[in-house]
Amino acid sequence: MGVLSGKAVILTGASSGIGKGTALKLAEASARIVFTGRDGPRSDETLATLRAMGAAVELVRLDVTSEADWARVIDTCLSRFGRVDVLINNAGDAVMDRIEKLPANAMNDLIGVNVDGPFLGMRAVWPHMKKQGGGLIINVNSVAGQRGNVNGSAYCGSKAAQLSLSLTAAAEGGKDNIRVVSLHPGFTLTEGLEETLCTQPQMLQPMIDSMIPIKLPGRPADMGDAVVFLCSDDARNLTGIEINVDGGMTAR
Amino acid sequence: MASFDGKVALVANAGSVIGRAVVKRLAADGAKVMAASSDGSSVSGATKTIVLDVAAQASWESALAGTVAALGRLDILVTIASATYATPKPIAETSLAEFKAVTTPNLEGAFLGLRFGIVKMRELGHGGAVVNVASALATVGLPGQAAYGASANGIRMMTRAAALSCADSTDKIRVNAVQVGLIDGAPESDIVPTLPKDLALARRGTPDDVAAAVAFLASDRASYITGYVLPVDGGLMAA
Repeated sequence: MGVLSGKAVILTGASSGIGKGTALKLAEASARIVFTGRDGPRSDETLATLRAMGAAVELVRLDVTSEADWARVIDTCLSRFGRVDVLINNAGDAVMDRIEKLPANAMNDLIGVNVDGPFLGMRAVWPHMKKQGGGLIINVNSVAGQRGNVNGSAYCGSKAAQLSLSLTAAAEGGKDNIRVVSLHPGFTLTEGLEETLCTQPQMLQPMIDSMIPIKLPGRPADMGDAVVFLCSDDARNLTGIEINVDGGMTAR
Repeated sequence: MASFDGKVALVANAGSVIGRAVVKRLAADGAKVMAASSDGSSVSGATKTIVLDVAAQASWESALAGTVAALGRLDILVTIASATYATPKPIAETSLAEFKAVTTPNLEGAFLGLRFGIVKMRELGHGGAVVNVASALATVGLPGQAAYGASANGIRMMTRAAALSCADSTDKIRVNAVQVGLIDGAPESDIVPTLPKDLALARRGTPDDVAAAVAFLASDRASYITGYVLPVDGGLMAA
């Protein structure tokens, strides 16, 4: 029996990367999970892995910018598990280039996924959490939401907006016993990056050495460990915080 | 739960309200705990106790050596800054001696703990984790609390600097901090006796909440976290 036994969690963007790593840690901790993923085959793979671990889990399609989709995701969680304890807004997108080279709609597109998405998710889940006496929302952000980054104007801008949204929701959430936490991973080695690291280590390792004080990339499992802590009773007095899991990047 | 089986922790200021909770939690999670305090008095859950004057270099050196001699290793060091003015003191009415009575144990205490704790961990060669407990007054200004706020923010930045200087992966020493808001029985609750109306959770935290955060940062679950200051404050920073 894990520390999250009985908790019902909605997790977006779990077909790969940080989302998948988080889903595995949640399942290890005995949470019940409704997850969403953009990539069909990879989502099915995540689903099979979680089921093989013995987890109670559902996969639902979600366009994070669709109110109707959000209602469906929450209905699934309520009808399957009878409650929703945690919403993890992990799905996100990035477009990286110099400001003058980014397409004109770059900012608008990223605001849609990175800001409208969490906003609509929180808005949809709020009345249910309020009715059941409280809940936890984790918005997965980035160190890019806390400082500027070359090639990141649209991405950093959207993530900074998301951070402000999280802090405000935390301030509003107290009276309903809804806690809101912003999680800030640093440079995290996801499947895609791992392929690059294997084929072009001469490019990636010097970048890691200069960018990350502990000279190691983060792993999706590291973010999952932080999420399990945040979902546990150990974190019950935490809200409105930015938690950095970044190998020291933001200590500089 | 028993994430600290086989690990040894030294907790400074173990007799304080937060210190007692930290000792109890680390022990419950399997650590052998050396409880250090100015009078070396017993603390529930501690394996051993030792006298530590946090403001004295020689005392830190002997407490660290004594921990390794008695318990065999040192994996976790927790410092807790808990010195405050007896009553709030506007800066224009504060003597240098009064200011130093707060900053010396808090800031210099954390410095000495880091300074000699890191050296001891390097000498032992198996890595480790330091968690400094400081105050939300590191980032929230309050009239009459110049010394406490200054020492808390000093600890915050010293934590980051120390983490960066240990970041080389051969060291495997992580340095983090917790900054506490209104916790039952801790200095912040005396300084701010009524709950601020914009405090999100509208309740005080408990020493156990702080201990849980310390235990997380000290554990392998936080192996990718260093140079970070975790607020345990019920949402004091949100608005």
